Amino acid sequence: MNTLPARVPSQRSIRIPLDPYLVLTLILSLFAIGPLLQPGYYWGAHDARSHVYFLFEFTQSIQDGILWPRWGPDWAFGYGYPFWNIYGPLAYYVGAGVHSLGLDVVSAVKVVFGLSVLGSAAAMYLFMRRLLGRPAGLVAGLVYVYVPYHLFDLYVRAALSEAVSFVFIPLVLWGFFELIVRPRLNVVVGTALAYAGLVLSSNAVGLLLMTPTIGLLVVWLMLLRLRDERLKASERALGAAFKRLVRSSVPPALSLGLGIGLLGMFLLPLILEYNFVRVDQWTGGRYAFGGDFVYFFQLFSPRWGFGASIPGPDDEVGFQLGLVPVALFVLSFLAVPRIAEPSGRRTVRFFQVMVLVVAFLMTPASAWVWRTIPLSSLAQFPWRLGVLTTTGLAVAAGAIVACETDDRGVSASRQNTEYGLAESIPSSYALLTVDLLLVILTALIILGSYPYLRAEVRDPNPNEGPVSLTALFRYQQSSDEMTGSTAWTRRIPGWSVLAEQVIRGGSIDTKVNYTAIPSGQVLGVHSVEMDSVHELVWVYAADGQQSVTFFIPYYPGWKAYVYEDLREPADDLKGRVGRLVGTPDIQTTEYEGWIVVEVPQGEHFLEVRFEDTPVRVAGKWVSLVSLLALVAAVIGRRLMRGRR
Amino acid sequence: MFVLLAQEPAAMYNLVIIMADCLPRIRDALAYLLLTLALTVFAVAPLAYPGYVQAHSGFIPVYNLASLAQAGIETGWVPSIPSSYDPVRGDGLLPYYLAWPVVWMGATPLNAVKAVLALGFLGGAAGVFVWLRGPLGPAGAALAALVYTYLPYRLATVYVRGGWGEAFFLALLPWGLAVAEDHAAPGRRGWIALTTTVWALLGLCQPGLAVWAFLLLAAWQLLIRRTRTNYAALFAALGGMAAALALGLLISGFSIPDSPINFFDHFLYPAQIFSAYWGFGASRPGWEDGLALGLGFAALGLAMLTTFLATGRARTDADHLPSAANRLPDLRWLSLVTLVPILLMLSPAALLWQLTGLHYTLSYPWQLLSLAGLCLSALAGAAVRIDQRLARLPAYAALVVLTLLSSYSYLQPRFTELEPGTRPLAAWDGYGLMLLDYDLSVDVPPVAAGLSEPTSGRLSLADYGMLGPGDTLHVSLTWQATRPFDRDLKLFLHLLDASGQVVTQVDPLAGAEAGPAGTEYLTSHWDPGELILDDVPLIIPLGVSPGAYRLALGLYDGDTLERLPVVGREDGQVEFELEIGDRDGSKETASERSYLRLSQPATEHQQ
Repeated sequence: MNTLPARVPSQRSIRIPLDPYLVLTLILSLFAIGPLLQPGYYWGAHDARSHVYFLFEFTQSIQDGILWPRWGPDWAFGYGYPFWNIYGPLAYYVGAGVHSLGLDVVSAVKVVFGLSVLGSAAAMYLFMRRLLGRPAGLVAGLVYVYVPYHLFDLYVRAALSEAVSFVFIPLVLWGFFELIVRPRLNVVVGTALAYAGLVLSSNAVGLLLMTPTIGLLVVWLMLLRLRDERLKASERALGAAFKRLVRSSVPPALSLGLGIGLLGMFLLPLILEYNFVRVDQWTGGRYAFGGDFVYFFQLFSPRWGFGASIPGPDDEVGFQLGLVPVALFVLSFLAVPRIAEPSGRRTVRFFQVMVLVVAFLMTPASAWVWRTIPLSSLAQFPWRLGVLTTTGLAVAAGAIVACETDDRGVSASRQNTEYGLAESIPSSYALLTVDLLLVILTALIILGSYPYLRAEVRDPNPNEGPVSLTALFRYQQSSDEMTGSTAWTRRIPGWSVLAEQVIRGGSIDTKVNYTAIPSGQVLGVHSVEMDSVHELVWVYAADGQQSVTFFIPYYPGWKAYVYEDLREPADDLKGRVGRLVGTPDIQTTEYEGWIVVEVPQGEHFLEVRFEDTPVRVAGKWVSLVSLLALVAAVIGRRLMRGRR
Repeated sequence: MFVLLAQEPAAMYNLVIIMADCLPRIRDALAYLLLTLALTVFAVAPLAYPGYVQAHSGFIPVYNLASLAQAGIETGWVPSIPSSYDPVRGDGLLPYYLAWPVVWMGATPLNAVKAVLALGFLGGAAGVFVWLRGPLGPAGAALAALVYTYLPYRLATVYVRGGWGEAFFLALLPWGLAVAEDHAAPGRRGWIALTTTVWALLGLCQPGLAVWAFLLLAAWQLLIRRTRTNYAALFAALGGMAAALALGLLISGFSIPDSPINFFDHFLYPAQIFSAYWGFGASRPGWEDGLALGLGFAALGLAMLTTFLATGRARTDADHLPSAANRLPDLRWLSLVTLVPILLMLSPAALLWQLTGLHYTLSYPWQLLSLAGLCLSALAGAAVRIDQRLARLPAYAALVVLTLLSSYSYLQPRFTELEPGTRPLAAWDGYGLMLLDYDLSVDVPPVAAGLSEPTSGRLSLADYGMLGPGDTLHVSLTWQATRPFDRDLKLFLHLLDASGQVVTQVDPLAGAEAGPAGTEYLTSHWDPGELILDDVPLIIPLGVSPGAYRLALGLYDGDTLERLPVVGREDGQVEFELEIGDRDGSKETASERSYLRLSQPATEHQQ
């Protein structure tokens, strides 16, 4: 039964109510972005360089007019790699947007980090405000930002995608909670959008970590509702109760389906084309699962560092859960039984159990569990479950304050009144009502993580920056990062002539492998134009036995087209491209997997282009249909409201 | 009884009401106790490291426990390290007897020691809670327990000093006070026996400190607790303690060795009591102690808060509760009693120590920090009892967080993964300096690696194979001191032939290359507990005949050239066997051998 009050009717004035607790949450989160405000960048952080160059590549594709990039042309020393076909691009869309405002790539990355901090604080605040009231939202929002793992993601790992995913996690949880407790159409739509945003920001977090968590939360809440229904229902009404329960599962299922539909253009290729890259590069070597469990003592150790996660107990980084979050988590077991609102109480209980289970899964004692979980190797490092402990600790911490509001006789349901306080008291006095003890607690939350609010800012090494194609290739060579290969590549490159060309001051104007052209004037090739996903060359073949090799590893989507050479105008090669005469099959070299295209005798134009496969086309249609359904739902609801 | 109650419905109703009334309190008490135990996780977690800490006492508790495990339980067993057992000031026997069953069940001595230390933290927290639950309520008792657990002194006792006897004493101390509470009414023999037993156990942990604990108990009973003094408990405690002390003296043959430490050199300066300093060094004369000797921000700060709240407050119902067990203690007397050990740690108290002779009970005056800390913990918890608002979340959460946060940075011990074995390889100066491990490796000649430049490549002797003339042997020694040294010792390393003749030798200062980047780190700078890795190169002379040799090493005073005696040996040196091969033309040279070894594919153990 929904025990929440009816929505307070909003006033007709245009004034946008300002929630003082939300403002306070955002202001107090500013300490967390302090290190970002330093000039410079923390180039030495684990993934700091990667994300800068991911954005560098992404913006290049956008500038080439590719609004949904899939192919990264400069990965693997200029050979290319379908990175965006398997990696969530949302963080880089935001970064590209910031970059388009005039900021350089590095600054754009820092802005995205900063926005992710503020966004995650706001998102968790809103979720917990809904669950347990505004003070709970404040405490949970701050714990969420200042949990050491979150700061670890920001300033030790510089994990941009995961940092952005922190924004969507509370929104998704809020949405699915609402779909169980008080489902409505706009919540179905909003949750679907939030879920899509989560997966697009980090597919690992969204698919591997949060989707099972959401499923368990939904099942948990529904089972408890079934228990409530059974307690209230007579024998004959039990079947009706069960039917009601099944009906109540429709909104979350619908929302999840809509979210997955929106993700069609990303998810379908990810699932069906994932095996066309060298998966061993993602799950082997230093990314091999099994050597990076977190020892029990590390979860509670104040150790902090910027080094590497190494096998054994002497990691050069900190994996602590955080003293303040853990203390509040333990105290929440006192608080939760006193929360009046059952849905809120049950949700907090779920997260309490989740924290304990997930903490166990991070330790070596859980190795036997991981061996039974499929796709566990994709998680790479067990400490990545810190995303879940961060969320759970934040939710549990909020319960401390939710209990306090009950003790004063102000029920949690009253606290859930939307902007009730701001409406009853002039906004200039709203902040004065904040409990002093609450302020002290929030100060302790920040103080507990204050020593970790630092980043190792320094100038880039020559193999890191300044950001350029030259620096990108040096970075790839020195770090063995961004050297992914497709499944057709049997010998992973360690360098390339393309990279050598750029290092020597040149540029990549063509990907034709001129060294593969035989001597004897039997084959002539001249590049006409090239961008990140296509190259057009003029080709002369003395006989029908010739082929052109491109420094592009094959991946589904690459197609070859042969056009007629119109011979006119003589001084404009591109203007001479005539009708399509053939679409030859693409072959590959044995070890490198480079594209080889046979050309007919005579003078022609040959184009290789990266296009959508049927899977990608289907994915786009699924996304489009889902988007249309979403828009139709929103419009339809507004129309129905207007009629009422 | 139930039949009678059934016949008396009014009595039945009252019983139900009383039980219903008690159950929430019991549930509350249990909840707070569990909360307290859960929050000790930060203090206990470092013990979960797969290794040990580099504490001042080194691996001595582990060695002694291994010795006990080997010898089996016998009445006359005493720790054999250090060389002479101190029945008053040294670590007592109880922790060893507690750890023995853990070893018997299959744990290593190292893990058994850690288990007892962990039990100490948990037991101490539970003890404070049980002791103070009546006077301070569950919330106040829980807070007091956390303050006590996270006292810097308690953390330092475990993770810096490795004083495991004292650590377990601190765990038992609140239990000793708890069992002597007035609910243990006179005439209840069970409680008297329990009190005697607990105080005997306290005496078996750290006999000298037990004397001071008894004084605290007396002050608590006579002055602080506003109840009828439980004289029976006092006498029981005294009896138990005396019995433990007598047992210790009996086992040691009534011999109390002189303390190697000058008690009067180690008084505290007032600033040290309030200092946030944390270090792993030793207690040194003067103010430059390397050890953390503060009372801690949480204990002092919350005690001040209590004083502030108590000053000028109206007497509340808490002062007049019918049950004496639940009355708030007299905070004035508690504050005064807290001051006593603090004042005794300062140098003006030296005369008092000398006059009373009580300095024979302790090694250092600052060991009274434990008692002062316990009193401060009780004061800290009283804040919650005085102002009930502090018992409500989030105020209570803020107090708990503050307590833990104030000591969090201290919970980074110096760890080591070194496996200690059952004995050190050698010891000098009454186990003041120990050689824990050694490793032999050989320089790989540059030619062997196909390079024209010298390399820093080394192979372990096991991988290198047979040592030969011209090879540079590196002897890597792992040292550990258990007390400071005031001079730089020299090391001798001799290669002896079968007849005992010295073939070649080196005599560097011990620690000559033990510092960062091979710099000096000599014995006068060694911190107790710190593992020192010292690398000593020795060139095997050309022309040395193949055969069996011995490496002999030892320490000596560079000024007097006198060898330091090795514990348990008369010749003042430690010897290791060594085999040296030949270099004739028919056999491949060591360099060629090592080159071949480097380039060969994986050996069997890698398959």
